[in-house]
Amino acid sequence: MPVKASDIQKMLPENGKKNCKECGVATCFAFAMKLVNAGITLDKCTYLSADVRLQLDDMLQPPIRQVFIGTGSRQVAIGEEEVMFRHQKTFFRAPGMALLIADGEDEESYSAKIAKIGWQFERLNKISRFDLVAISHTSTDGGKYLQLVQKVMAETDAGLILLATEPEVLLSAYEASKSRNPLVCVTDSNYAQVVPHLAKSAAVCASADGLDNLANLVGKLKEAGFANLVLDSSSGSLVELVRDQTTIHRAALLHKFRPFAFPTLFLAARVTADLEQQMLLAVAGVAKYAGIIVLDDISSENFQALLTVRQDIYTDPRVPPTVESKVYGFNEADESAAVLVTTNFALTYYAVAGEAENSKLPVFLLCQDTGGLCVLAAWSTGTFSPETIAEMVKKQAVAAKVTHKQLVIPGYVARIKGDLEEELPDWEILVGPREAVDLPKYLNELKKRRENVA
Amino acid sequence: MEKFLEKYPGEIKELVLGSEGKKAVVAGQNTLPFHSFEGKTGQLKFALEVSDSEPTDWVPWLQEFYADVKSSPEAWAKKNAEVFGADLIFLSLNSMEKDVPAEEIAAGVKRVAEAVNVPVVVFGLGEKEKDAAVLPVVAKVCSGLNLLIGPVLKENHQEIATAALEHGHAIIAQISMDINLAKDLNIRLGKYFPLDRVVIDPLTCVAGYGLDYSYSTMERIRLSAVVYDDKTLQSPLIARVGKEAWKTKEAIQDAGKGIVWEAVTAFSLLLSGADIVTMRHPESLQRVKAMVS
Ligand code: SF4
Repeated sequence: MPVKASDIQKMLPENGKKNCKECGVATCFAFAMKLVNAGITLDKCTYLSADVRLQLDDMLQPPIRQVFIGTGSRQVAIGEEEVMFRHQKTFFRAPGMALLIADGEDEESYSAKIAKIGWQFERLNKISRFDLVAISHTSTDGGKYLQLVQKVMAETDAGLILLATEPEVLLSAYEASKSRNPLVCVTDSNYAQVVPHLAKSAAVCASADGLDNLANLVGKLKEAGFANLVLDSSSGSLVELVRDQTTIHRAALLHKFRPFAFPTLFLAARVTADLEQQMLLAVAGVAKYAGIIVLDDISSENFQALLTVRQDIYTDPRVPPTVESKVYGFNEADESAAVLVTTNFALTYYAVAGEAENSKLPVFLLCQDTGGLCVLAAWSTGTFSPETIAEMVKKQAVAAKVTHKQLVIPGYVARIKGDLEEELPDWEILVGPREAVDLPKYLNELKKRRENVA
Repeated sequence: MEKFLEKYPGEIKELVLGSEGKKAVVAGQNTLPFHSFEGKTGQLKFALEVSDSEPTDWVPWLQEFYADVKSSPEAWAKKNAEVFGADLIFLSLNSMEKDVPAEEIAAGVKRVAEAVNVPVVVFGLGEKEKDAAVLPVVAKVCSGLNLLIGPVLKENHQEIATAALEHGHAIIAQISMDINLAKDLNIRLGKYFPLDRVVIDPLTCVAGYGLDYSYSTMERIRLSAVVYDDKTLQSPLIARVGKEAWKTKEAIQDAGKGIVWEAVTAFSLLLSGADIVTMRHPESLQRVKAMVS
């Protein structure tokens, strides 16, 4: 919920009634309106005390601030979420995923993890990967920490999370990497030695034990002029993870509790060293508002599954997912392949594609562009009609791909068979099953029938 | 931080399944999933699937894994419960595909239910006529065993639910990923069947194949029931994960991926509101169970 202009107005000079026009706007209220819509900046009104300016600045921030970590194409942007549950609008910024390496690990172990920063895969036109490396200081040699930070910088373009707690070690790593906009983790115990040496624009993670201590630490950092904050409440179990993330998210969105108006970080190693359990905790973090999730390591199966879940949860429910409208081939589709047509609604595609594969028979699947509507909805709105199907069959030159002339339509639109036959007079139109599960059986029967005819 | 905690008016009553000596309790919460910091969370139950006829469409890894028991539903169910730690047996009536007589199928269900020390969920084909013909016979033959029987659809609820009620079973009401359809079917059922003995199955899509739909459908149903106290939706939820997870491209490629796919899907849906998850591999079941307990 954005802040109201009338609440801003009350903070302006003379209770917002000064109306001196010096800001270039007719009234204080008009100025407040412009502020809310980000159409003007606070410095245009010269009558604000430093104190009021800070307060107003805070009020004008979104309920959860957006924070950037890293630079360039791998920069991670988190925060600025608006809802508690994805169906209420959407979740906007998927959590940044980090692998944790320690300077106490042997080289083989951390080199293998650095290599995993290069892993990625594509699904539904989106690339998924880990974009962050968190580096902890478990050796007794501060020089080693710096070396590891430099190695990660040299070998990857990933963003860095600096977890060393010893002030000198942390600060030298910060100095060496600040051009890469790292996330610097600060606790109550190193606050006094570390924070004075950080640029006010630095991304700082406040790590504290529990939510009350966290709110205090954030208060200190805000007062010191830091605005790019990330919250780490040190959750130590699944329930604590759900509790802390839910409380922080609720406090920020529903109660406008400003100390929690920032994205969060979850360090799975605080709960368990078991990598399978860490991956499931990461799934919980994805579902429950975490901004950054740090894992000790990940296997290739877990990598793919976790990032697939992340993509699903952060899919915008307001936009129907689609696949490219084209002809898909399965099981080495050749000129004998059965030809099926359906819509380009992603779920329809996945269901049909999965069963086409299961049939183990060659299949061509035409996914006609229906703007992401499923078969029945598309038929009823005219985006999946005899005309549109015929057009696709002709445009994709399907007749040249196969030696037969049989086109299978979904059982749900059996009623268009006659009209489609008129549109495609050379083709025999067959009515397939209503549900994808029945496809393998149908396709096998179709094949048998064709062999009998031959 | 107390001021940010929430109390909710709605609750899902406990559902007791199984006959004397082998009972299990599902649900019983007055808060959202894993919100034990602000209310009472429900009991989660993990089911392993058994096919009542030797499965032919399961991936090779699973067929090999169950090679020693897959031709005997009773032995298979016993192993799932006693060795693999399944809280429930999810018995798929695949023999219905071969048009085995209903009495024979029902006798098989009874043998399984009597062989194991945990409650049994019995699941038909999802074909409305066939289910309406077979499931009432199962209900009758297994009278008093307090099974969970489904799927009950809008088109066949009368036949199946009436028989289930008469013989003391709970039912699974199945709808297609839409909270309004869930409400509609529960209202129809509620006229003659206690809704706390109904489990809603909103259909399951797995990771990468529409998980977001299942996730949000479950979440919305649970929010309506607990936060907005919608009495027509105060039923436990079931996520049938196993079958869907093990037919993905990933699971067909590689057994390890299948396990992970099944685990992440099951856990995601537990986070969104599922009270019962059904799985096919004990390894994924154990991973998720370890996480939530
Ligand atoms: S300059 Fe300040 S006081 Fe004057 S009208 Fe603008 S907002 Fe009001």
